[in-house]
Amino acid sequence: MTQDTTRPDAIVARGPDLTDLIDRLVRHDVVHRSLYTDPALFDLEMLRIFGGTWVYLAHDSEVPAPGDFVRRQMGRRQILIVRTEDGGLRGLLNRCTHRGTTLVGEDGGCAKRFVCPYHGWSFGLDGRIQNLPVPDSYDRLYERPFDLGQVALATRAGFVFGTLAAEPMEIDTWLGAAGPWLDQHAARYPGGRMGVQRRRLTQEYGANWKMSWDNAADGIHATFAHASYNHLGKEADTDTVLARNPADTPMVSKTLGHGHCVVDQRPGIPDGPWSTMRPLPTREALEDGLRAKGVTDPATWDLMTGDMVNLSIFPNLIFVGNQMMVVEPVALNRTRLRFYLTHAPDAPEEIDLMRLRVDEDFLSFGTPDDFEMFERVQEGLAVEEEEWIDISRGDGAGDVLGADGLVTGTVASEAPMRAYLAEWKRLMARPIPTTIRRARIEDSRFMQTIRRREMAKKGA
Amino acid sequence: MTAAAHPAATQAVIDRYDALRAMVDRALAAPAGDAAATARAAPVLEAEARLVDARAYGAWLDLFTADACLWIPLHPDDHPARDQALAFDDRRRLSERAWHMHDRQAWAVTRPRPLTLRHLGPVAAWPEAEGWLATCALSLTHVRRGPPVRLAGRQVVALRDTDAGPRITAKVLLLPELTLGTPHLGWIM
Repeated sequence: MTQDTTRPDAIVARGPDLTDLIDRLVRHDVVHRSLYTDPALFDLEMLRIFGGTWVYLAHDSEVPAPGDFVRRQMGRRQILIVRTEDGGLRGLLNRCTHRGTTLVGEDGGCAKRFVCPYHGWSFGLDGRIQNLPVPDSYDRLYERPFDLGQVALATRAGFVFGTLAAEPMEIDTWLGAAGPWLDQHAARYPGGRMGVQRRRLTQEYGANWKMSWDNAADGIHATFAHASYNHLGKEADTDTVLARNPADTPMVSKTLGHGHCVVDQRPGIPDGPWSTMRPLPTREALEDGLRAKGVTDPATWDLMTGDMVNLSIFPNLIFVGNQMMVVEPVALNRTRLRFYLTHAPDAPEEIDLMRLRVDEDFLSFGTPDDFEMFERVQEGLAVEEEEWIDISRGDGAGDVLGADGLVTGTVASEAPMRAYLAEWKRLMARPIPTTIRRARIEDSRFMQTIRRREMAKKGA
Repeated sequence: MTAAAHPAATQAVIDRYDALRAMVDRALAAPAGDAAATARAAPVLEAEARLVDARAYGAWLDLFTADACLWIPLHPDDHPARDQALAFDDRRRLSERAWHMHDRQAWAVTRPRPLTLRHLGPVAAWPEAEGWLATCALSLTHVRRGPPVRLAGRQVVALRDTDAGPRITAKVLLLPELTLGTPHLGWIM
């Protein structure tokens, strides 16, 4: 391992060892407010969490053909997920290796190569430098590591994750008990084929990114924060799932390891998800259309709404309804959420037509209240004298610890919050060795030269 | 979208979506407005903006026909049959928005109560087979908690004559800022 950052194969563990501090800030039953208010911790999160572990970047279906790319965010880094000519995927840093210019300004597209608009350097889909102007102006061009930087990628069930960790955990190990839930989500689509809408909704709230995580498996807030949405349901004479008292339902939350968790609402909805849907624009017509096609299979009807399984893959992927909600920290107290609506290309057309309208409902009447609560929590956490936030709900009061170390509780349990914070501790306590991959390091002239010099030194 | 042997009910939805997209395209590419059509449409657009700012939601809803819709695409080029939108409301959902804007448990839009101002640019309108097509640029300012939210865009509105006078059958809000990201827009109507 070399920490010489001038070398293209550098493996660098950045930042201090904070084991003692982190232990003090995150206890089993309380967490310190500074996790949400300390800019130094936020800066470290961008290195150790949004870089040092796997981060969701894209879905395989978004880049079906060679040259297709989407631009995504990993902490402060822009990543281009690119389908290469051989059908593989690359995660290229959107950063020219000359001066650092971002190569691509669009959120997605199809390219034969990436050309820097500043000085005309061009790179292949696999990140290898193809051309640059006036190459003779470099004394030993072959010694320069000009191929684009890359992140490691791994895919499970079509979901693409990336990391800068030098020795990342195997993706299946990292997903652990969340892996089969992810597989199950993908398998819900006819033929196992899930698509992602080309447009994504982007909204920001003025609070720390972890608010999304605190909220993701919080089954109690729905009754109060979303009271108005629930009353919309009552007015329409439809009992939305949120309108029910979560403490009275057999819905469960489970921790899944490495900060992942799931809230399974299905035990509380015996008639299936579609039975809870409110009247929606075009609903009656599309139901008529489905019936006219003779579709009676409940599983197909339920495809129109979410599966009532809220799976959360730490640190940035939360499944809500038919949306994949991707969390992008912008600043200590500013977070961007990207809502990617998924679709079922092999289902009857009515399914996707209805999905478009289903997910606009909660985004109109529910999500704003979540944002409101996040921002009010951030405001409240400005009180320096109130240092601690209680996260003990469920512990010793309903939570069941399995032999696998995972916890099952009611949807009132805060076990998922404690579990993601345990992962946060693991990642934040010590520097994580990270490295920038490149298309060719080992066989590059640059590395050959370095090795020759090292051999010469040893010989001398 | 081409019709490929859809059931009639499904086809009706697709036709409505196609018509909405075509309506926007017509308005954006139309020549200078027709004076008589503009004179009929402009007061309705002005009233609609004023009433919603005044939170006079009952009178505001009265400006919409029973089959009216509100579409707020995420990108000006979007199609309602293919793309997720910020909102696609029928009349029932519009009435829910009006109810929600008065509900004291609608924390994000009523506590504290927001102040909004919609400023309309000059209206241009054209006669259509059934009524009029109108458009104008607009700016929206929303003040409630935190920094004010300011958006600029364009609205495209279809109107038809009813016994009560001209009424809105479709309203489309094109807001370029949606392509980048905004705070929540739970208040937008």
